[in-house]
Amino acid sequence: MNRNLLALFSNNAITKKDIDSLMEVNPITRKYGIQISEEHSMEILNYKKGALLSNGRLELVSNDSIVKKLLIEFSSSPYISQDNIIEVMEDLTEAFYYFKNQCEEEMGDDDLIEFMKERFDTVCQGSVELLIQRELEHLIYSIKNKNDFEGASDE
Amino acid sequence: MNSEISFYGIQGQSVEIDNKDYLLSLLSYIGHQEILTPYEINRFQLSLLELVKRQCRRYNGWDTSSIQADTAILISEGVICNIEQYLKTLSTEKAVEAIKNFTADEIYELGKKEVKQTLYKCGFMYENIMKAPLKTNNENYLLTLKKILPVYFNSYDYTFMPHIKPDIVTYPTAFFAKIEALKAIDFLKAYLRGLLIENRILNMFPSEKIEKLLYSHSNAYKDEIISIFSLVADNAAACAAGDRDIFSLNPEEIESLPENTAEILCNKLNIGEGETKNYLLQYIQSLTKRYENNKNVITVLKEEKKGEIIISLGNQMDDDKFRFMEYLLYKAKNITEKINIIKTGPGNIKDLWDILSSEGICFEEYEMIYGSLSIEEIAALYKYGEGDSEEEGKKRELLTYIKNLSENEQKYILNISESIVFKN
Repeated sequence: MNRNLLALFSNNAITKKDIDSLMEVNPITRKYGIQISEEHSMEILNYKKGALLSNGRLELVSNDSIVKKLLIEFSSSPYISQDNIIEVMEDLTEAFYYFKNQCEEEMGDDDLIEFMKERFDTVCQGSVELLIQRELEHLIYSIKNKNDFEGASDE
Repeated sequence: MNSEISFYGIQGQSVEIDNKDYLLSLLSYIGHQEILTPYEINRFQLSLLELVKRQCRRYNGWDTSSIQADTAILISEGVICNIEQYLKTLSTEKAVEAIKNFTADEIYELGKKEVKQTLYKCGFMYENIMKAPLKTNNENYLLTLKKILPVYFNSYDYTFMPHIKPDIVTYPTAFFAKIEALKAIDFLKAYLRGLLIENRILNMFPSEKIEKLLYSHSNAYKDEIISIFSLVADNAAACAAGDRDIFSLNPEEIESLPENTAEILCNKLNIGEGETKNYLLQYIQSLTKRYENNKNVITVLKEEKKGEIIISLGNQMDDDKFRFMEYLLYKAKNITEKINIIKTGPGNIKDLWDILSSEGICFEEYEMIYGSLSIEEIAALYKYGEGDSEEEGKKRELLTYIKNLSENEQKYILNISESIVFKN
């Protein structure tokens, strides 16, 4: 019964409304030279759906919530441009859900996104690989060991 | 999506209301009987879905947009458990009315209150049990009563996980198999009720008779998972049937139970009408069936030799404690400190014997150490050492020590040691 009930959580088909809602980020991202088209929106939302599934998570709020936040936060990065935004967004979305699981819900969405952005722009110099394999792993290690994650990468 | 929602399988076959899956079966029943319109059922199901989502967010802290599926399943089970707790207090007609007129949130809150009240009653039953617990050495009984249940009471979460049962209840009541499948709070209520009544009855029997019965059942009864009540009730019923003293718990073999066995038992135990009598009647009914199936029912009491001195080997120290004691002996500044450690540290004869092999003890110190022990302790060490095939200094020194005692003391030690029996 409960599995049937929960199936409804993930039964959120991508609608025109979701696509339009995601495109609402454009006035902000355009300042940094990034324009999200309908195709981009569809691609990002589809990828997010796959990332949720592969990480065994269910979404509790609207379809575009997390990807919208990631787009707004990361569009200001000097390492992101119109050329790589989709590719980076896919990796960041997957990393986001993976690390939400890893940190056992100890961190809120906004805190995790803020941490990812800060490290991406500074010590990782735009490398998603470094962000995932070094910074986020350090973060998880620190959370599990109850240490302050600030400065984890400085060691 | 809203018009298609039907996760309760309204089109399914079952129209019976099943207590194990109450909400599901109730909604199926409502659908089959067309008691509510599809719109009304849909409205309730949607409010349930929204409630589960909200509970998931509350559980994770509000700053989260997603949750692990496994956690969400647990939370949804918790929501349904609370809803069922309220609905089960109503008749089917009233429960249908509640689904029609209330949202899932409202029923959930009423259920939460119901669970809190039940938990309070369970706490009261537990306190009553603890006022007069059974005097027994059965570890599983003690573990359940003194550790598992208090931890469970302290960690019970009626907001998110009201359906989670105590991890492991190691002591079975007589009807444990019947209540095992119940959800948390129902299980706890039935379990504590059973335990309370069983305790009440068991406390009417002499505790030393119960211990003897347990020992006769198995030498290792302390560590076994056994229902003490069943053992006692089986033998007491056989005593009643064979016109023997029920408190002796020592019946003759019988082939069947007369119909009035339960009545005789209740009379002898002065049990009047009420839940205790009903429980006992129910148990005797199941016992009668066991006799009909020719099962070996009673436990024959073992007669202990007269004058036998039983020394319990009890619980041994774990390795860490043992090593720590060895370290203390090694670091002790003088023989007085060492004697103090030896006399206060080991809790049983085996640990005492083992610690005497410690490198912290010199040969010349054995005489003083043995001298500090009572004559009975020396006899116990002598007896225990006989079973130890290793020829160690402590054993030689013990024999030397005994040989140097007076003739009377030596005889006394030998006499005592012959009567000593070590038991787990």
